[in-house]
This record gives sequence, structure tokens and C-alpha cells, in this order.
Amino acid sequence: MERRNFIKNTMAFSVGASTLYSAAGQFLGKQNMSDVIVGHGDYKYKIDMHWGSLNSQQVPVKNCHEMVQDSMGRIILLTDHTKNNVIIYDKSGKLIETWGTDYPGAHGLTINNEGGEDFLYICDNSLHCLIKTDLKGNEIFRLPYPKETGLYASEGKYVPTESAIAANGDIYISDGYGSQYIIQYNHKGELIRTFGGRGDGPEHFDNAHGIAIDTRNGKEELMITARKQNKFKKFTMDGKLIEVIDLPGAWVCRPVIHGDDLYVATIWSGEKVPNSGFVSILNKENKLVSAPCGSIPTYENGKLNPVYQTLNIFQHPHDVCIDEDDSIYVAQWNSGNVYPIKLTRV
Amino acid sequence: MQVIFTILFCGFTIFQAFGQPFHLSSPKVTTGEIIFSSESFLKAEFAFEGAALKYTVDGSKPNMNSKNYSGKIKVNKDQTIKIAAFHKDFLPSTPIEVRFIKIDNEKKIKSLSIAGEISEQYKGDSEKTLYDLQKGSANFSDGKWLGFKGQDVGVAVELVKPTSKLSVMVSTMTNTGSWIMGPGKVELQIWDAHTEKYSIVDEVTLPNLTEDVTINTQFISLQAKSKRPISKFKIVVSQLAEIPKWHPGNHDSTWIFLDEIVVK
Repeated sequence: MERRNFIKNTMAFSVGASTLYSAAGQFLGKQNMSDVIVGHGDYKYKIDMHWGSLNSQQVPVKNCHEMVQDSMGRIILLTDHTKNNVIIYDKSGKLIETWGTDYPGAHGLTINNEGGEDFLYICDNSLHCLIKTDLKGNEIFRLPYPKETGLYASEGKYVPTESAIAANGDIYISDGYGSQYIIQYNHKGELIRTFGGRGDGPEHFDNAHGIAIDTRNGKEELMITARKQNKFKKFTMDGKLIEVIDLPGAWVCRPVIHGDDLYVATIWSGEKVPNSGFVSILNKENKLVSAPCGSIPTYENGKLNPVYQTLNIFQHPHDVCIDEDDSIYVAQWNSGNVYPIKLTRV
Repeated sequence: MQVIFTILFCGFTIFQAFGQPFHLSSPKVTTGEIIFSSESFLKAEFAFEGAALKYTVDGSKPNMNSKNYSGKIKVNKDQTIKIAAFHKDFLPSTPIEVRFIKIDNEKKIKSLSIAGEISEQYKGDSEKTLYDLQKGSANFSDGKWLGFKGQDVGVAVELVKPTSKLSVMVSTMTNTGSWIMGPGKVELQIWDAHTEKYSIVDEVTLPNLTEDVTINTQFISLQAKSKRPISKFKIVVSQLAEIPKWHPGNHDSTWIFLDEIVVK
């Protein structure tokens, strides 16, 4: 009964009246893609496929890995194309500037305001390090592989995917494609502790792909991805497991906290089916409330039923960035070199 | 019970063709045993407002006029079910196609040996994997598939009971994104006890791979009739002669994946 009501109250889709599909399999009218509304419940969006499109000869992208918004409201995209690792847009999708030619494995992008100035933290898979830069691309420092932990026999075992910066300046790095440790440093880059790692326990990770500081409970906590396990794992700032959030079928990337909600690009669904991604939105209780381009979220006995893609708009969403209007910018990995897509909240 | 997330999956069409209408994704399909002795089933789900699932059992592609899916479909014979999602505002999904195979309970294969090096990564339960009557899923690392890299594969089978009419089904996979390019050709050779030689009696050449199908599992049927009872046969699975030009890995070696050899 509970489930039925939920489905009934959750409109999955609506679409402009100009699009009629005939029984013969022919479109009667040209579908206007901007009419398509995706998402569920209170979280519905119009799609702008062309938001981030640029001249691919002049400003090429390979994988569009992550996006953040700076204090000036600009949207910053990180790609592993070394002609321009960093592409800065205004909110309308207009190109402002590009920089960065030295980051072949540019993967994780985190922004942190320090004393009124924004700084970027880039995790590079190929260089096996974290790079801190200012918004002009000047490098402040590099944090190399954490040899001092004694957990790493070689640099190659360390393939960091994401960083998160606490209010006190501590730097947390998730080694999501490497040995699955979470490594905590102080703001000077001195090692404080490690936790996580590979294993079968609830505190272990398989593909610790993303990490974020979650302040929704009025204090700082760490929300960390266990992507291959289709889970988020919440930890205290000193590495104690608090909670495991199960998202069966959803291969979640980096958690992005915005207001009372958690947004996340879901790169695959099901058994890692190619091109099966969508976007997921969790409320303050970490319940999936909307899955733009995914199936209607339903819970039974407090457990989420497996989720999957229903509309083939995204291929492999890799990160989301949420602006002050609650609109979502979606960056995609391995998706035919596409530029970011915008979902405008309606 | 196994879950088939996508047997046939449509590739890059949407994003490469801006201005094209959106496609629905394929429904989520769950089945009982694919190779079964008494009864099996197919269940489909697609939680999307206003969508309908339609299916066929005659091999044709489902369309708007096909049978409406309204609940679990029971299967009690050899049957191919094709099911797809439809919605008035969107292009239909790529159909999911599931081929069910009914067998009797009698053990048919006495022994089986493989000529070819099974990859350490995808070794399942070695030879046994090929005649445990467990169909692998669309996920090639589920432990039910054997992977072979850059080589043709020969499988020699000895039957429990010699037969004059042999029908064999070989289950293979294509996953172009993971360099599993599907075999180019599959051959059936039967053993002649008098000449002490294998001779080719049937072969199937697979259709050219196309860019839009990225994952596909298929049964390949081979037949033989002989005046003298057949007690031993060999299946030879050959690599693609040439990797299609559209594939980014067209100079690399490719994989062959096998999960089952069924004797009917």
C-alpha cells in the first residue's frame, strides 16, 4: 500500500504536447528536447543538452570528470584533455577561460574558499598526486603518494580520485582507483591518519571514488563513496564508520552536498551496463527522492528497490554541480567527448 | 534466479545525433533458469510514468501492437521472448531478447576437454563451467563464463550415449566495449571411429558486428546426422577474422567468451 501511494504521488515524466509517437513507429512531430522534464517528486528538471557545448577544435574535451562552482558563480569543469584541463564557464554556458596542460589524469576537482580566495584541489590519476592551484592555475603545492603511511609499496598503488577539505583545513583524499584508503592530512600536508582500505568489512571500500564533507547534521561528517558496492559510507572526521547507505543498482560517483540534499552522478546502473547512467538525489535522511532519467525510486521495508536507467539521455554521468537555483550541471566520462548537460530545476 | 540487465544495448546514437529524439532504456528483466528442465519464467520491470512493456514469443521485434506485459511470463518449452518499453513521447527501447532452452534431466555429456588457454581472470570452474547447465549473465565476470584471449578455442566432448542425431548449442558473448568481439565462426566436427579423424559437419558464421549493439549473449545451434552413432564431437570457436574498422581497438587481440555447451 505504502509503495503504491508513493508511485502514485510521484510523477515520473511529463512532456510537451508537440511530441506524439504513433503506433507505426514514426514521430508525428519533431520532439523538442527542451520540453522533456525528468526527475521525480519535487525534484524535476528541464534538459539543456547544449549547455556546455563548445568548439571541439578550439576547446576539446575527453572525459569530463568533475565540475564545481566558484564564489563568483562561475562553473569550472575538469577534463583530462591536456590542451585545456580546466574550462571555466559562466552560468549561461559561455566560455570564460581555459588553462591547464599538465594534468593527463585530471580526475577529482574540489573547491575551497580560504580567507576569501578560492583554491582548487585536483586529483590526478596518472600523476598519482593531489595538486592545489589558485583559480588562475598557479600551483600552490603537490601532495605526492603517501609513502609515509607505510601502506604503499610504490607510487603506482596510489591512484587518488577525490579530495575534500574540512573547515580546519584538513585534507582528505580517497584513493578510489588505488588501494582504497582514505588519507587525512593537515593543511600543511602532514599525515594525520589513514582509514578504510580494501576488505570485506563495512568500513572498507571497493572503489572509494568520491568523498565530501557532509554538514547537513549541523556538524562535519565525511560522506564517502563505495561505488562498486553501490553504497555511500558515512564516517566521523576521525575515520569512525557511522552509517552505510545502500543504493542497489546505483554506481554512484562523488557525493555533492547542496542544502539539505545529496546529489550524485550515477555512472552505471544494474550490472555495470554501458551507457546506463542517470542522476540521483538523496534527501537529508539519505533516501533517494528523485532519479532524473532513472526509475521511480521506491522503498520496501525501508530498503530501496534496485534502480536503473529508464531514459537513455545520459551515457556515463561522472559528476554533478548544483548552482544556487538548484539546477544541475552534469559532466560525463567516456560519452563521445560530450560537453556538460544542464538540468534546470522546474 | 538471474537478472539480465541488458542483453542487447543500444550504444552511442543519442549523443552523436543531437536533434534525434530520446530513446527509452531497455526494461529490467529477471528470469528463472535459461536452461531448464521443467519450467522457467521471465519478469520485467520498468518504473516510468506512462510507459508500457510489450513482448513477442514468435521471434519478431515487439511493436505497439504486441502483447502487453502484465506480469510474470511462464515458460515451459524452447522459447525466445523479446520485450521492449514503449511510451507515446519517446522512441521505444532496444528489445531485451531471452532465449530459453528446455532440456530433459538425462545427463548427456560424459567428459569435456578444452584446447586453448583459459584466462586466469575468467576461469570459472574450468571445463565444468561449460556443461553445468548454468547460463552466465550479461556480466562476463560473474564466474559462469570462461574467457580466452587472442586465440581460437577447441572443445572436445564425449557423450554418455552415442547418438545418430546430434543437436548442440554453444553459448557465447559479445561485449564490444570490453573487447569481447564475439566469435567469427563456430564449427561442429564429429569423430569417426573408423578413420580416427574429426570431420566438419556444420558451421555457423556470425553476422558482422555493428556499432549499435554493445552487449549480446547468444546461443549458436549446430546439427549433425550420422549413420554411425556419434560418440565424440568437437566444437571449434574461431576469432573474428578482422576487427571491425569502427572499433577503437582494431589492432589489438580480442576475447572469446563461452559459458555453456548444451546437447539436446
